[in-house]
Amino acid sequence: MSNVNQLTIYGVDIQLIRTLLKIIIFISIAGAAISSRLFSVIRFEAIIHEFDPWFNFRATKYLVTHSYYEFLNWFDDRTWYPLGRVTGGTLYPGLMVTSGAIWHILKNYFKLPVDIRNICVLLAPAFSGLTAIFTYFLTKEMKDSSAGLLAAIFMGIAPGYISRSVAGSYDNEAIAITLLMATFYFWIKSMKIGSVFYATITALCYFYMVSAWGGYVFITNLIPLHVFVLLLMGRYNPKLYTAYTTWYALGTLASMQIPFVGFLPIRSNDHMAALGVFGLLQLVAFGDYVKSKVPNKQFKSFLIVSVVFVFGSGIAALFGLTAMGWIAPWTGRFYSLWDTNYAKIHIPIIASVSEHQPTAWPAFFFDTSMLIWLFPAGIYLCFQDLKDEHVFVIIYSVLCSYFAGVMVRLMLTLTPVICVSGAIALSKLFDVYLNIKDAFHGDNISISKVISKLTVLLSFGFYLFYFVLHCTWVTSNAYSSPSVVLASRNPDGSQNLIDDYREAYYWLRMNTPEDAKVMAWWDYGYQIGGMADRTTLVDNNTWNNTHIATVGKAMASPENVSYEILKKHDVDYVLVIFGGLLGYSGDDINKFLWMVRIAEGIWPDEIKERDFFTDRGEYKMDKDASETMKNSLMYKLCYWRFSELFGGRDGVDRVRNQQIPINAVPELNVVEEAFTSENWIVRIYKVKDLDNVGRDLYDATKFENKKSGKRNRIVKRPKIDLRE
Amino acid sequence: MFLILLFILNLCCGQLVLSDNKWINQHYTRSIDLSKGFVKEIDIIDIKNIDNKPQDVYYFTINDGFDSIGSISLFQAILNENSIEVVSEEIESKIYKINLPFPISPNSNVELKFNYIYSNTLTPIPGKISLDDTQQLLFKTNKFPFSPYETNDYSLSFTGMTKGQEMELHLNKTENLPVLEPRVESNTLKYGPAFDLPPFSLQPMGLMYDHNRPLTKANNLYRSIWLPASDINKVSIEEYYELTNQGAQLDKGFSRFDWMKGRYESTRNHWALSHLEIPLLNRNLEEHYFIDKVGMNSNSKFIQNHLLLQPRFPLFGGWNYNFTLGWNEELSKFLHLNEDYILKFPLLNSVRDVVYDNVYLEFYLPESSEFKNFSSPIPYESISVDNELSYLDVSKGHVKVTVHYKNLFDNLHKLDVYLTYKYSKTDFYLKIGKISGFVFIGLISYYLLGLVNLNIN
Amino acid sequence: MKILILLLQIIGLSIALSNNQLKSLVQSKSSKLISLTDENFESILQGKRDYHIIALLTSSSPQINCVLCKEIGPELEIIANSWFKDHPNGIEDDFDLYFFKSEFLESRKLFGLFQLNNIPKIFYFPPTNSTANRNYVSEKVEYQFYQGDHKDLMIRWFSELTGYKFNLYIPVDKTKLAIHAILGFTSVFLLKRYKKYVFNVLKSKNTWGTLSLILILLFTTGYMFNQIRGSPYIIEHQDGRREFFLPGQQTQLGIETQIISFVYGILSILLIVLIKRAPTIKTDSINLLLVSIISGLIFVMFSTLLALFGLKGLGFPYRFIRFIKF
Repeated sequence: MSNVNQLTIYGVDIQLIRTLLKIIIFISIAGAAISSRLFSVIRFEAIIHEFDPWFNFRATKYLVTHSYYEFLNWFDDRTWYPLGRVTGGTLYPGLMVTSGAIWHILKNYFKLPVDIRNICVLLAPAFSGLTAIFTYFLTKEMKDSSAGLLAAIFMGIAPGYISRSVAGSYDNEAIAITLLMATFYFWIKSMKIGSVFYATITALCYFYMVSAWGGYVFITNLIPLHVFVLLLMGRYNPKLYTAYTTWYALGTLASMQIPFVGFLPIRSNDHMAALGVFGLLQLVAFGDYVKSKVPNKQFKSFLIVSVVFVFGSGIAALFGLTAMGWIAPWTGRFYSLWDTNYAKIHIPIIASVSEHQPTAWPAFFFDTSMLIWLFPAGIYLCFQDLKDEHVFVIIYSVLCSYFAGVMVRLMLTLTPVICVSGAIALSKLFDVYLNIKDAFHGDNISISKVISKLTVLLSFGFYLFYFVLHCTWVTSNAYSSPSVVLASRNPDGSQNLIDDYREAYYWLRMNTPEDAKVMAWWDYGYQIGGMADRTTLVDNNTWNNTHIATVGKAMASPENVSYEILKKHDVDYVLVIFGGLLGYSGDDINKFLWMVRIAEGIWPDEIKERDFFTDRGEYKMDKDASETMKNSLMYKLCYWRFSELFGGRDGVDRVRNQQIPINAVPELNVVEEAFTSENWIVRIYKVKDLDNVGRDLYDATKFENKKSGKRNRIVKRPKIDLRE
Repeated sequence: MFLILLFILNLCCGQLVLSDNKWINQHYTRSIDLSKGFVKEIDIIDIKNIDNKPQDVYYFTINDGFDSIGSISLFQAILNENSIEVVSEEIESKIYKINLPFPISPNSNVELKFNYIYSNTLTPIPGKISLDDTQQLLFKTNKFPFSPYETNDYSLSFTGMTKGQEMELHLNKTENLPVLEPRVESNTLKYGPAFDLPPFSLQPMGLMYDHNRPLTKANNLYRSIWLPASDINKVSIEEYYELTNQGAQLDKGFSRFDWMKGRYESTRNHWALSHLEIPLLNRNLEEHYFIDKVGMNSNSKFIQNHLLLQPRFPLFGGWNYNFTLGWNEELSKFLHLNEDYILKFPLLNSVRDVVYDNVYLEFYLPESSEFKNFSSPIPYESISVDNELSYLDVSKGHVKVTVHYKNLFDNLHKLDVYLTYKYSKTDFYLKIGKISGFVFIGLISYYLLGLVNLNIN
Repeated sequence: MKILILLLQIIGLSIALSNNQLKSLVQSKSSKLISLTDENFESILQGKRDYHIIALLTSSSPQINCVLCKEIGPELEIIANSWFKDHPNGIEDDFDLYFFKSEFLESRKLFGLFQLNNIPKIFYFPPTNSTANRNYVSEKVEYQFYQGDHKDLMIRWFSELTGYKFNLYIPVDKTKLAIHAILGFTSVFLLKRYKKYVFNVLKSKNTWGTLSLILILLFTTGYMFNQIRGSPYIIEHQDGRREFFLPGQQTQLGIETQIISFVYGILSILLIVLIKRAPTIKTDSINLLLVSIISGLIFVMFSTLLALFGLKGLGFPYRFIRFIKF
């Protein structure tokens, strides 16, 4: 170190220059990370994206207008009508508390009363800057700071992470990935030096992570697995013991403070690995102690007996406790990770979410570009070194590759390790080829050496340049749409915004009674809660399958059956999403089969998926559509008066490319059209009241139709003195 | 439908006092303009002192008498010969005491002109119509002058409508009034003249006429004007409207198909409110934004010196739309510095054809400035001064002056209000000093924290 | 054989076989899924029938390469066998039920009659009194294939149609059992015998390294996608064209995983050679040669990768080399 200190350039200490440079690089990485996430803000506006973020936003608003304890005890009677939701106890508060805290600090200490919406919108980009920095530290532990800087850049702009952290995607993942990286960094640090201090920080980060995202289970299992593998490799040492026990004890206690988590860490099987490794570590530590005290031979028999005993009793305890119901069974989502058919058969709700689909290879390349092939090289290099921390990276990468392959959404957790190991590989390459020293033999320069170095450096420089292009292109084209607002191009190239969602939601908010109940498919529940501020029956927090199935049944049944359900649930308005006019494929007809399937799960006698197909087994909406389909409420609501738009000819559904006959929906009896948005994407219907002359609603409609058909409208005019 | 109006003719004692036969209305001409969503009445009265003493007080009553008028906005009395505004005070609801600038000697004449606007008066008939129907409004008024004095010669005219029918309202009326027959003259519906009418003549009439325009009303308007502390030549204005359409309601649910078929959106002649027009009149709105509670509304555009705002959905009767419109303008057009700052600012934005129930003018003066005075050409309900914390406010916050007006209408944007406040350079530098002080303290404490050694050895 | 001759005689009469004839036919076979061919279908289907028929129209020929056919065939056979295990002598006082399987290559005429565009198809023919010519074409009821356990779904459908209850007897595959047993035994034996080597292999970094890398390469190239979605390995068209790549980001073929993991693997190996091997070569010219070749290869492979990615058609604009002109 001392000779490094003596190095100066123009009298400035070289260490100082390095630090300065590093800070500048950090700032620019953070800048790049943040600015590449702002596409949507610039193109559209500072708006909350997609579905879940709307709930988080609403919860955050609740938090900043109420006290923290009110927030934790929040019972939300505006969703899941008539059940309500114990929102405070069933959410991960980390995200809301973070933005709430930022809001308070800005307002009270910096005198900047920023709108909470802007904080929510920009939270994810801001945290992505932090993620890059933590990735730097983590990678630095793996190799050195140059690898760290590369990893930080990669992390900053890799689309795999951007996909969940653009401005406006105010979701748990936005801060969770930062915390994931922080926890891992501190874990590696504490494991390396056996520091209680760092282990405590790890536990704190872990606590924060638990409060922010359900994916914390990943950490809960990865760290024990790391320890377990190290033990298997015979790499036990007291440092490991210190780090793990500290983290586990503190982290578990802390995580139990989150109401939603509660006693899960000691009851749920998801957390048993951590507990098991904790116990194992005690045994190993004890064994280590015994070993140092007794002769080798006795130790061996001691070892065998105790291993058998512990193993047996451990398994017996696990089974016993599960059987007695003390330990909760694995959660469905967890099952679906391992048994890939589980969800499809048992939990259609989980299977219906597009995020839970398996990942095809283009998605990997799309999300990480060339890092995906640097990744195995990096892992190979880790195997070459194979220090304790490299074991961690290897386990992380293998496990996460599997998870990411099973579920698109988990691409997000894979991206960091791809960045880390890609950076390791690339920086190793640069280490070799940036080293100009060996191009000099004494005084003369070896031309061929220089050329070979230049070839590699230039080509990889070019690849890096391409990488930036790729990331920017992907971010700009794929991940920057708020999905609440859609953009299309006019023939003249100008941008045309399709704002139907907000149009309809705002209509609901302005023109319906405050306590109106809106029934829509659960995808739109959070948005209706957030934008329309009306009570919904089901939302994206899919905690009650039966309730969702009820909505599915109402949508899939004929009018008279639906009407009963609607009336029983006090529904005032029914909202459907219809993309047929515009060619917007994410509409309810395309989701309809899931509604049918989920409803069939509860009422297999009344709803049958097969009935919704034509005789030839096709999913059709045109004249061949099955009777059940034509009679379903969903079909009627979507196609009501649709074909009339086409002036006497059959209507064309642009999503399914099918001809909708003119009389597809001859009449609506139990509901009436209340509002349809500009491009027909959102259609809202008002549920009719019971007829006030006691007629059946069918008769009433028939009567009305007859009346208007005859055109004998009785014009009641006041008695006036017509003098002109 | 038979109009039944239960009402009690409220001839309270005040009115009794009025009819003291000191004046006589020689000519009484009422002209009523129905072209907009509110009613504009101009009464020109030639009054004659029939007392034996000079008189300088004249009582004017709004021509109502059967509670048909919702609310009165802007009452103006003018001496017709030299257009001098005359001081008037409302001594009782709808009764004004006019203090003439000079006494009128016995048997002399003077001509007075009364301008007033009433809103919340028109009702759509029938109340629910379908998209392709034409909206008809019912305007109820007293066919005769409701003056405390006798009237010699009276005529009444309606303008601003194309097709109308008179309806007789079977309500209490004064007996033995002459029969007035209508006639049409150059797009004007005229009645009269009628002669020798007693005081407080009352004959309710209804006029049903086609008005295929929305009855736009802002229930509340919050108009905030943010004045900068520094020398920047920008004033930011933000207006929050709670808009509704008082016109006819839809008889059924809104059918987008019918709406598209009729192409009502592109026509100006439909009773649904689909556009708001703001003539800009030499104004330059910089960086304007049009947002509502769910975010930006991209449907605003400048066309021929007009700003057109399109709500997210067309507003039919009873539908609401709340939105915020904000922009910047050059400050120098409004602010003058004498000893104090004097701000001259339009009372309203120039939105066309709209009435306002409540208008809250909110002036945000720079932090620690001193509010001096406010003056307005028309009366206001209340004024209040308090503080509101905003960006980088390090002490009590911006001084906020709120003035509450009631019952305004679009044309009042021509009126200016005046606000005087004091803001010294010292205040300004003090604020900058404070902010930089805080930043400095922050940095120093960071440095000091760095010196603390937390290592445990 | 006798029965076949009998069959041939009856074809001439063009009426359906009697229940008893069929029953004895079935009883004589070991697989209760009887094949339906161009020779015998008229005799079984045409005219009056006093039994239920369930027929699978399928093909196991490699030319047609029907994945679903191969899945369905054995499952239907299990159902058929289970049915006859429960009812070896048919049903006393109700219509009997018979299962048939028709192979495309042997019954082109039958397939033509039904004007089939795609297979597999499962048809149900109810008992009938009609003697009209080719009455069975209009009498058929078609089964819809859904995701899920095929046996379960089919049984549900069958019992809906016939009103009978079905039990399933899934035969224990004895050969499989034996193979497992032998495998298990040998592996234990080998483990015991070569304990030392096995432990060395298990302890070796290289084993685990190779394993991890292979897993990573498979998982990141959509192996799990193929597993879950059961995507076909390759698509062969009628005219012999083969499709290796499906357009679209959400789909892929089995072979894509292999191609792409190969590309990734090669790229990784080349990179490692650049990092590990190249610097150890001290002769400058050879070093230069090696480095240039490898850099060139990386460039070519990467270009290939981009081109392949471009095939998936996402409007992806970047290519290094345009292999195919669009």
